Amino acid sequence: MGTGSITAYIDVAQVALYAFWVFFAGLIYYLHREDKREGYPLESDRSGGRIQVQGWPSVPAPKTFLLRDGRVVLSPNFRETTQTLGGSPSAAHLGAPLEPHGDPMLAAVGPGSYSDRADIADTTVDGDLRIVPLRAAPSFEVAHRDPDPRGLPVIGADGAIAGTVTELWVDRAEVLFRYLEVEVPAAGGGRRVLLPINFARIGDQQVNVRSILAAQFAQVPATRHPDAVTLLEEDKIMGYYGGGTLYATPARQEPLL
Amino acid sequence: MMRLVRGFAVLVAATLLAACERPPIDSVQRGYRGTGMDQVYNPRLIAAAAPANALPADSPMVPPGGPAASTVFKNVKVVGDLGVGEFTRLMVSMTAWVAPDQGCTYCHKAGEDFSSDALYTKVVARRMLEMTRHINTDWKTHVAETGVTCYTCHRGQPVPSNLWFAPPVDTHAATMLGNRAGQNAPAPSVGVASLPNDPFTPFLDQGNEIRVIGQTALASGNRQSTKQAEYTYGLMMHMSKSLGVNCTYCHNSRSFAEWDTSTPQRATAWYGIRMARDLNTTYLDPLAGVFPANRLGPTGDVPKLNCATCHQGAFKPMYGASMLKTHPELAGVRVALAAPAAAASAADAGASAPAR
Repeated sequence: MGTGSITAYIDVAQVALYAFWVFFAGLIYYLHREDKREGYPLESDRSGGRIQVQGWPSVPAPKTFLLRDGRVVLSPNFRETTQTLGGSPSAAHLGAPLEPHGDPMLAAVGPGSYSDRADIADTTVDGDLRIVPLRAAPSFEVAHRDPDPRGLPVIGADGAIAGTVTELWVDRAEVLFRYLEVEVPAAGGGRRVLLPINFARIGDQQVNVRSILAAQFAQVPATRHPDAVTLLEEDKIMGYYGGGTLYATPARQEPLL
Repeated sequence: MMRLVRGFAVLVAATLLAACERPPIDSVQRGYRGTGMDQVYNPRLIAAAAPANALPADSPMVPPGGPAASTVFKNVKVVGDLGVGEFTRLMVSMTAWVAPDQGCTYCHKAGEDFSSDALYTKVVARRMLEMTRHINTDWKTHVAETGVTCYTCHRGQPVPSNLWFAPPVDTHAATMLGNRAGQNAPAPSVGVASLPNDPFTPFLDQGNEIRVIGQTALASGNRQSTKQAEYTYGLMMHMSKSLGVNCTYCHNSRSFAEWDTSTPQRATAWYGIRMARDLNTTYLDPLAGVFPANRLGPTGDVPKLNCATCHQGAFKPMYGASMLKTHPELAGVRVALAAPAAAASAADAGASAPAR
C-alpha cells in the first residue's frame, strides 16, 4: 500500500473527495435557501391558499436589514402588494397569460409592471438627495468631449419629435447620468418628464427613444417634486418605458410568423 | 491623423495574424474515434517541403563481383568486401551525398594517394561508413528495411543541417533573474517553449531515465520530480517537432506512460532513442580528437545527432523512401566477404561468384 492509503481500497484522496461532496451538498442546500428570500411562498392557483407552496428546502427564517435612516427591512418579508392586478387571464386553464385591462401602457402589467418600492428618495452617504437635476448639483457638468444632449430634440419610436431635452439628472453617489429631463408639449404649457438614460440613444443632433412613440411621452408618470424622484417613482417611470417595448404599437405584441 | 491610426490598426492586425494558417487543412485519424488522436497537416506546407524530402538522383548499379576492394586498394578498412566496381560507385555516391561541391578532394588530399588518411574528413567518413552499416544491420528495430545512407543526414552538405552541441555553461550567478538554469528562454530545440532547452545531453548522449510517471495510483517510491518531468517534456517537444507530428502520434495523452494505449510508433521511437544514444556515444563522441576546432561546439564537444538530424520534420526521413535497394552495400549484406579469409577466397575465385 502506498502513501495515503487507509485500507487496501480506501485512501485519503477518496475520503477528501467524499468530504467535498458532503460539503458541496450542504452548500447547494444553503444557497437554495438563500434563493427563497424573495418571491416565496409561491402563488399557486391549485390549492386556493390552503397549502403554502415553497418547495424544498423551505423558506429560511427572516433576517433583518437595518437601514441607515433607521428603517428595518426583513427578508423574506411576506408582504402583500397593494396594487390591483391590471389584467385578467386570457383563458381558463392554469398558466394562462394575462391580458391587460384598458390602455395597456397604463395597465402596469407585463413589461410595464413595477414593484412596491418605498416612496422616498434615495440619499447619498451624507444624507443628501442622490439623484438630482444638474441645476440642483452645480458642481457636476457634462464631460467636455461628450455631446451635451441639453437642447436636443427627443425622437420617439415613430420618428416624430416628442419634446426637447432640458436637463440631465445626475447620480451624485456614483457620478453618472441616470435620467434626461424632457420638456413635452402639453395643453397647460409643457410638461417635464424623466427619460431613463438606458432607454435613450444620444446622438449629436437628436436623442432617439425606441421603446415608446412620441405621443406617449405625454403619459410618462410624473415626479411629485420637480428636483427629486422617489424609488417608487423611478420604478413607475422605468415600467412605463418598459411597457412600451411590448405595448407601444399593436404590432409589437404580434408573433413574427 | 485618422490615416495614421488606420495604418497602425492594419499593422497590428497583420502582426496578430502573422502566424495564421488558412484552411483547408488535412487531418489523419490515428486513434479510436472520439479520442482526438489526429495528425493535422497544412497541405501547402507539406507540398513546399516535398522537394527537400525527395530521393536524390542515383548512379546506375554495377554488377557485383570482381576482385574485392581490400585486395586491390591499399587502405580499405571498412568496405573492403565490395567489388571494385561497387566500391567505385559507392565513392561516387558518397561524393554526391556529402560533398557534391567540393568533390573527391573533400576527403582525399589533392596530390596524395587516395589511400592517404591525411585529411580528418576521411577518418570521419570511414567511421561514418561503419556507423551507417551498424544502423542498417543492428537497428532494424528503428529503421526497419528502409535504412539510412549518408544522404539521410547530409542531404548534399558536408555538415548536416540538424546537429546539436552541449550548450555553454551559464556563468551568471544562480540568483533571481540571473542563471536561467538551462531553461526559461524560448528555445527552438524544444519547440520555442521555455522548457529545459538541452534535453539532448541527458537523454540522447547520456542514458538518463525519461520516464517520470509512477506505476501506482498512490505514492510508492517514485522520486521523479516536476523538474525531471519538464526535461522529459523538452525531449518530447523535440521528437514531436523533428517528426512533424503531435503527441498523439505515439501517445494517448490521457496516459502518456501507458504502453497499452500507445500507438506502435512509440515502440519504434523507444528504439530510436536507444539508437541515438548508441550512435552518439559509440561513433560521434570518440571522434573528439579528430574534428578541427571550427567543427566543435561552444564547450569543445563534437557535433552529435538527434531525431531531427535524419527526420528533418518528416514522420519518416524522406517520407520512408529507401535507398538500400540500390545500395545494398550499406546494409552490410556483404558481411560474409568481410573476413580476410573470405576476401582472399573471393579474390581467388575472381569474378565468378559474389558470396551472398
